[in-house]
Amino acid sequence: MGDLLTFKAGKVRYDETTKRATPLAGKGLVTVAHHEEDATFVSLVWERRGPGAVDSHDGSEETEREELLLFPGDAQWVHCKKCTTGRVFALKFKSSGDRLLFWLQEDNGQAEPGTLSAADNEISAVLNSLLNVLEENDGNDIVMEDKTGENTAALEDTLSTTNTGISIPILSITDALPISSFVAHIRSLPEQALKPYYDLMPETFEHTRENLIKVIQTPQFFSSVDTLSSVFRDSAGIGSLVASQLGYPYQGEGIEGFLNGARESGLRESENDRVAKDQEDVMEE
Amino acid sequence: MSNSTGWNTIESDAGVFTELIEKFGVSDIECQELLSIDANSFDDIQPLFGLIFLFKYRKNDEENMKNEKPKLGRYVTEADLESWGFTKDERRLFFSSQTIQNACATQAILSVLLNNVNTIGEKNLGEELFSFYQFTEQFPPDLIGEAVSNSFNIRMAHNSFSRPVPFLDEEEEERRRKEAEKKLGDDDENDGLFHFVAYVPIGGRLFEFDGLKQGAIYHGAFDVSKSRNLPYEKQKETTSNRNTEPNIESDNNGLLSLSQLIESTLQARISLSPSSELRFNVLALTRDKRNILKETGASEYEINQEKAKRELWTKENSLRRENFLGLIFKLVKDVSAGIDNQNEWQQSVLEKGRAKSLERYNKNRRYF
Repeated sequence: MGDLLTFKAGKVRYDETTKRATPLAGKGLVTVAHHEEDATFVSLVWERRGPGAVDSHDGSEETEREELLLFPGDAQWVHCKKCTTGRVFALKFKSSGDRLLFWLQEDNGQAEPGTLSAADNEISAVLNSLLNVLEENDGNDIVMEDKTGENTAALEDTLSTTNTGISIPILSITDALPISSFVAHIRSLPEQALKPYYDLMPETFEHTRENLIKVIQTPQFFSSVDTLSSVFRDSAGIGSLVASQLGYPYQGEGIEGFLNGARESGLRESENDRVAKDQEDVMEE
Repeated sequence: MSNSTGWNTIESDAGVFTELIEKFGVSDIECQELLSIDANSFDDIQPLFGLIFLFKYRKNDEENMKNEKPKLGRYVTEADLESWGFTKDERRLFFSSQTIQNACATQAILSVLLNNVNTIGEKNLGEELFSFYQFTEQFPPDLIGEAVSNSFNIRMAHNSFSRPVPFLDEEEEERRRKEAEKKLGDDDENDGLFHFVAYVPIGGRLFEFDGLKQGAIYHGAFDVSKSRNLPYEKQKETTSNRNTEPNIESDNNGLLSLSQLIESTLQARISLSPSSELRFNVLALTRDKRNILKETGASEYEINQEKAKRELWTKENSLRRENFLGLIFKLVKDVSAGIDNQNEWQQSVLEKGRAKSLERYNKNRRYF
């Protein structure tokens, strides 16, 4: 998948304890694209442009390339209006309350260094639409150091971490039902209930409980569960196809739809078994 | 998968390669992984038909690898073959250019097998590969590469080791694979590409077959009488009384053994690598150990050990082919139906699952 957005921006270091933000001298480039492995995420990559510069603050080397995986709806690109010596933006995360700061290095064609150009606003609009941001936040709560690092100003305490409790969907089947829950289930079953499971094992394995557990614990099994998870994540609208092929009542899209549908099907089966057993009992009486 | 023309990636593993070779219709050949690259390890492989050296490289090293002129050894010329006194059979060095990244494991295996047509023999090589060998006799390297990637049977054998993705139609699967291939091509981070190179002893000399290069590369002669691991006596006879010239790697006092020459060649290759931490793997092609044990009257214990190794390979390969859809669905269905309280299901499974996903997602964000 191609890049969706690129712009020049440097990093800004934010110190939690002193609450100070320091723009780093290096030239950088931000590239935003859909994540290659998992289209649920938007990938934001910062990388150095041109020859390496060194952090003016403590002389340590900056990293050459950073990749962030962003979940749409969680991150937001916000202009820090209090900074007038440069155009500083914060990437704010609803889920963790973290903020990552950048300073724009695109030519703004303005006399005032802190003034946004039409192109800057365009970047914000495109990026926020990629990140699925609905409401606008003015980012007035961040105070910047000067680029020279001399005229420092304290950051307001609003930078402290707050968790706003954003919810994201289940991204992997094993997040809800870990492999250990499958193993515990197999261990709990009486031997005669294992037969239908044995029939689903690769033919090369002898039909024993321990082999069944061994198979469930292989990396190949785990990666198959992962692949199935990715089918639900990446292929919008596949839920009903899967439901009809596996024969469970459709309960919506995504992994949650699959889990709810599979459970519903399992509940109906055990209900049928119970009814059948009751009838048997009645016949016997 | 069955109708598409693509090549899937396969794991480079001795068990996978052995079964793949058998699927080509070859008999009495197996693959062994080498844990170290010293002469003693190579000596233990008897007979040694050749090696597959596989390593990960970064995209920006690719231009280096495609260099016209090899950094180690030199291209074989017609004049070389003349002066070495190679027989008519030996003169045909089977070299195919790499046309498809994902096919390169299979290409390296073919480089070892089809440069051993005499030592393996037509019968053990099997009809499929022997006719392919004959079919491509007059082909230049790029056309041989095309012939490999277009061979239906070879591709089917190769692709049989990957697991089908459930619910995706062929188009979607093809799209995913192309994306994965493109990602490999685009690689600019740490993942890198795997590349497979074959090293084969022919007529008392060591050759390298690297599909990214222009042709077979010569790495010098070795002392046949000192080499204990040449495939079959036949080759020893034909090469021992030939003129040998001093080795590139050794002084005039004598030639290295095959194993020593391989060791020094691989060491030099590794030290040349632009990335200091070259990740590599070496696999050797030899005879089916079970047959050797039978012929030499080995102990019951040894034979059983070999049997167990084969059984393990079969099991591992069957796991590689499974997508476990049936088993996953049954487990999910039964485990979740076991939680019949709706509230408990919402809280301890779905809610917990979302939290876990969120946690993993937050962990994936790295910065500054």
